[in-house]
Amino acid sequence: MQFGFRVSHHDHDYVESRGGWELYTHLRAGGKRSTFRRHSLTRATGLYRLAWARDGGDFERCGLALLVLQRAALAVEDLGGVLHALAEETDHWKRLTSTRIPELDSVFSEARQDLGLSGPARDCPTIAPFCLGTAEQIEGEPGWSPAQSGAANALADLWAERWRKQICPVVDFWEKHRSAAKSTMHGYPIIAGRHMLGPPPAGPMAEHIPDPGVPFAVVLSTSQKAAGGLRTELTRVRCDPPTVEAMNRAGRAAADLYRDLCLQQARSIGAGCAVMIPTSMLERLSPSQQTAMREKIDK
Amino acid sequence: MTGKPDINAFPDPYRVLLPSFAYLRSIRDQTLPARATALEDAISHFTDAEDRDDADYRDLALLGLIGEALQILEDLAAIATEPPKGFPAPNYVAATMYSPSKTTSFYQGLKKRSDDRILALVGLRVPTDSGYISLHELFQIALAEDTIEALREAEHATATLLRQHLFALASIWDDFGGYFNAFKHGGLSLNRDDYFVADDKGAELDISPSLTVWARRKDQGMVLGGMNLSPRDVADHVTKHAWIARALIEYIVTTRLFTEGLFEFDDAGTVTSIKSQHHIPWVFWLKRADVSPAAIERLEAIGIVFPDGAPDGSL
Repeated sequence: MQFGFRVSHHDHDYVESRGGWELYTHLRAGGKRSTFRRHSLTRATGLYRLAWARDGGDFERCGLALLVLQRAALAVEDLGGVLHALAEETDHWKRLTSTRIPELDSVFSEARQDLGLSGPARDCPTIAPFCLGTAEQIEGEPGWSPAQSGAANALADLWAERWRKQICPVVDFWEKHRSAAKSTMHGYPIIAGRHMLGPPPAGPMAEHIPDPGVPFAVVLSTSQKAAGGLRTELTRVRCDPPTVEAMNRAGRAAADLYRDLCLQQARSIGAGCAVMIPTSMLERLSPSQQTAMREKIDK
Repeated sequence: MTGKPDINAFPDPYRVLLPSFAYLRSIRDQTLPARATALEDAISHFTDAEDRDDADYRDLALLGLIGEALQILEDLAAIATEPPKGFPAPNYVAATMYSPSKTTSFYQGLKKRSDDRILALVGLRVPTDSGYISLHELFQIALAEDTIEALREAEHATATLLRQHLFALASIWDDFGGYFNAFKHGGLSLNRDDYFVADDKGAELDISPSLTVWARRKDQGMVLGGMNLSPRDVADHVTKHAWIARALIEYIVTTRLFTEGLFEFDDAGTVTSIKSQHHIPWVFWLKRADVSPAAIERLEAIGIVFPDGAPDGSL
């Protein structure tokens, strides 16, 4: 037996040049994947809120906080994986299906740099895969009047700025929680805050963990030192509502960005157009820009 | 008969045992309940998804359920470390060392494990420089020969049942590990609108796989697909084994935490006294049919309680 694919497109070579059929079909389902991740995260957050409201105790609250953390991290990794895949000109599918933690680190490190840039969001490398194109590309489009090109560029800028803002909590999340998130999926080497502090305390490691005054957990990660011997790194995760709600926001933002990125790419590949600008923020343009854009859309 | 463990043979209570106890207590009090809640939520999410007219969403929910289930199998592989020599405590350092091949190596290596090594995982045997000893030998508790023989039977029956469970889990890991990776790293399920199953000549077949995912780190285009079970069958199958894995973790935590009771610590974590251990709280997990009536009688005589058995005869 074998699997066959039946995705139609007018230009086979174009699909191949944009990453191939595997990537195209995967991107086409990005909206459903985003919806599922969002629902999973919402369910976990609901369980956490319930435990908090009925004073389920620190163990229950922290366990569920870590579930929120994990489900948010899955959405963040989905986004990071596609950004990593599209960051180079070739091997998109291979890159997507073999992404590792250091590569996600690179993606979010680059996004962090983009957040510090003062220029237009559309110039940021992280925003480039969203297929908004450059101002020059839009101005060079045949059949577009200057007013229409100007309106299209303004709309593209609105989207680019929106996506750049959306990625901010995602980058924060990755920087703060990557180690803990990974641990929840790899054997759960985590000590409950109450058992860390005791009494009795968890031995010498407790000496390095001040009580944050809120429920918390500590992730242990042991590795070999270059000079020999072992080293256990401790990462404290606060499990209070502000921290968990921030995890939830980051996961939702990541799922939304992932959906937009996948659908922008899929529509762009499907239409054979390198530049795609969503029209759903049209009403935020000036009246004259809206008129110019509507003329183009109606045609 | 001393019942007094040799303190010189122990790992350092402050540096090794206290972190290990904290780790095990955390699994008991926080990790296992959270994993159970997550699994129940994934089951409920999948059941909800079955009612939606969207097979792709149901696939993702099934993948999510497989993810929650197999995480418990991975937890088991992490915690099931060999105890330090001379003491049935956990080796928390080994449990917190991550390696991408750790879980697969654990399950693949089960076939080569002796009864001694299986029982060491659950704290019923302790490694020494010259092999493995049982708990009554560790604590130098004198017992009648027929009691020792009954304990051996119970240990062997426990090893037999554990081996059966662990082999079943190894099979699940082998069958669904690729789906678990696909879930964690990108949600790589296939879009049902875009693919079909074909015979070797390319002719489309009227077959609907339970779930298909792209394989991670394989040749371009490689797909894993399940043809024999319905999505609900897959969900039930992995769920059943996740509960077995959870029960095994609970068992390991219970058996290894009994050594907590040997020590009294002050609030700063300093050992203030070590107790003699004349009564070992043995916890066996076995099928009644695997132990002779005479052995059960002997074990009951030393205070081991045999509750009513589970439907499969395990206790």
